[in-house]
Amino acid sequence: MIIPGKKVELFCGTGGVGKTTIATARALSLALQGKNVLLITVDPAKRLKQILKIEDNDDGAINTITLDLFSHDINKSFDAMLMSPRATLQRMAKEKNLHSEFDSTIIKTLSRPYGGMNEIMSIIEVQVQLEKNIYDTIILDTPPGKHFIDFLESSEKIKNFFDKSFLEIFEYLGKSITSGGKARSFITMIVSTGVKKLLSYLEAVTGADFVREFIDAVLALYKCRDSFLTALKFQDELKKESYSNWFLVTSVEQQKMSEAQDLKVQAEHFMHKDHFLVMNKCLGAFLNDWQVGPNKTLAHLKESMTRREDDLQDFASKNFSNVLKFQEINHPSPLEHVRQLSQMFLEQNKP
Amino acid sequence: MSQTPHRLYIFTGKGGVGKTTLAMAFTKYLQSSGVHVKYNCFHQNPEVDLEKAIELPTIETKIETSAELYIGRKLNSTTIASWIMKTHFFKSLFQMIPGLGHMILFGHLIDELEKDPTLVIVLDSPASGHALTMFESTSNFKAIFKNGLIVKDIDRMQNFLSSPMNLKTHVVTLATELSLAEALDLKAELDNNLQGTEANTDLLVNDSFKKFFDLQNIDESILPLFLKQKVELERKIVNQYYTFPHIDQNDMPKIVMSLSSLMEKML
Repeated sequence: MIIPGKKVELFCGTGGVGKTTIATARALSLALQGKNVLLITVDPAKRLKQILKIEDNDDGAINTITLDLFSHDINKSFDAMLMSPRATLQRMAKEKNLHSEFDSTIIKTLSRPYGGMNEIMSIIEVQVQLEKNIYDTIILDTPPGKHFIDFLESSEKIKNFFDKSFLEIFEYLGKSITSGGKARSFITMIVSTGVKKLLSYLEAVTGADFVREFIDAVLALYKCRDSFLTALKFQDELKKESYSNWFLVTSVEQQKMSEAQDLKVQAEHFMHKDHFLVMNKCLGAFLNDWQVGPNKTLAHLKESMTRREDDLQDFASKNFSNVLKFQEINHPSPLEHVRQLSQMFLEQNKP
Repeated sequence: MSQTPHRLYIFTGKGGVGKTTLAMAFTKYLQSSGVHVKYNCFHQNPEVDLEKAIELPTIETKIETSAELYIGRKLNSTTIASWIMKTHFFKSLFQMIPGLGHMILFGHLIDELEKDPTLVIVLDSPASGHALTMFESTSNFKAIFKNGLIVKDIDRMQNFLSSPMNLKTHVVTLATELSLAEALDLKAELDNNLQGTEANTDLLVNDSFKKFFDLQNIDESILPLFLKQKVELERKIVNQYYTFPHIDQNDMPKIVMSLSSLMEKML
């Protein structure tokens, strides 16, 4: 089966199936073929940090990984980045010259690594990296499970936020957005409107300080509206077959077929026909070779493990036309896992 | 049960380590010991079929409903609360800032616990990164709101969580080095977040083949190479932390009930 070369490759799936390891192996296999690759992990668990031994300074820096790490040619490499919402936001602030506006407790707190804006900022970061146009392929290791859908929908959320909510409030503030005045003076400008009522209710619950700072923060984000909206292009591009490959990763050791199925159904809206089901940690070959002998417990164990794998195989062939199988690797070093999986990628990628 | 249970048990860890299975098994165990306990799947989609099959007592929460309840109480009007939650502005606010929803859900559960002093809740929390979003949400939003009614409520939540009698957190991991390293990272960050409750966060190892063979008295020498390798990779970890065995079943309800029968030893 040939995996066609694309600008973007997305790795998604439920948690703990080896998504990050597989995505890293894919990056390695493309780098070995001489491709210029960037691997971005949006996983807040940041497993990539452990695998590649990158230091996590939360600076969103691009790390060049030379392939000697995997006992290959030191002159070849790929780039890797741990997504940092804070760094992405800071760069945006710098571009727009909005340093003081972004020096807000609200914005700082929300853009902390676990502040909850990970997915939204990631989609902006990917767009920025794409526009640099220096990579043949950008590989995205997405957040696990349901958050992967959140990630895909984040551009929709951005659109809603700016199109509807912001405009609702800033219709009144329009002039001053362009003149750059401080938001607090606007509150007095808002006369009896629905928005005023809304803000007064908000004030009753949260206190007046918050409402003032919140309006400042919203205003700062609003000034970066362009950057947010450019990211919307990304979602449209992803739907094009010529642009992206989708990898849905699942693992034999987990009974998460229903989740994999749910993801497929939810993602169908975004996925085109170039998508692959990755069956990770397959034991088939080992189980076939295992001569159990008279021990009943072991016979039962073998039977239940075999059934588990057969069930997944059934699910895979019924629901997916492209299935990639990767054998379980029992090795203590994650680097060895990546190295062996990348070889499997290279072998799979033959007609 | 030999001792009084905690009020809130949180099962967390990276995705796919069996949080849901262990959280459900633990709920069933508490229930069978006569504890008034409810399982909560936080904001994940509930596994309805499985919950039904094992007759799991649950408490269901939805961000929108919890938020509406909360705002309604603060403003003394359910009508206004429902109007507020329907505005684009608030809808988007909750979508843009998931942490806010997490905090409100978390607050809702703590409310329930304070209302009914006999109730125990087992919370099946989102995978690692997102669990931290949840735990951080109280201090994050406290920094944002500074004062006002919400801060009083956040203080109340933090108060509840910081009492060692109230909270017990289990970080679940598989018996592999990589999984363990991540679980230890998570534990360190949780300890850091919930200061003063360090003793109440512990590690549980799940799905261990070594433990399975030990319990079944199987001599490792008769195992095929791939299982010998697995056992070797697990050896150090299994001896260090409380460990649940691999369950040689394929039916989820049976797996949960088997694990439930092993819970007493854990305590």
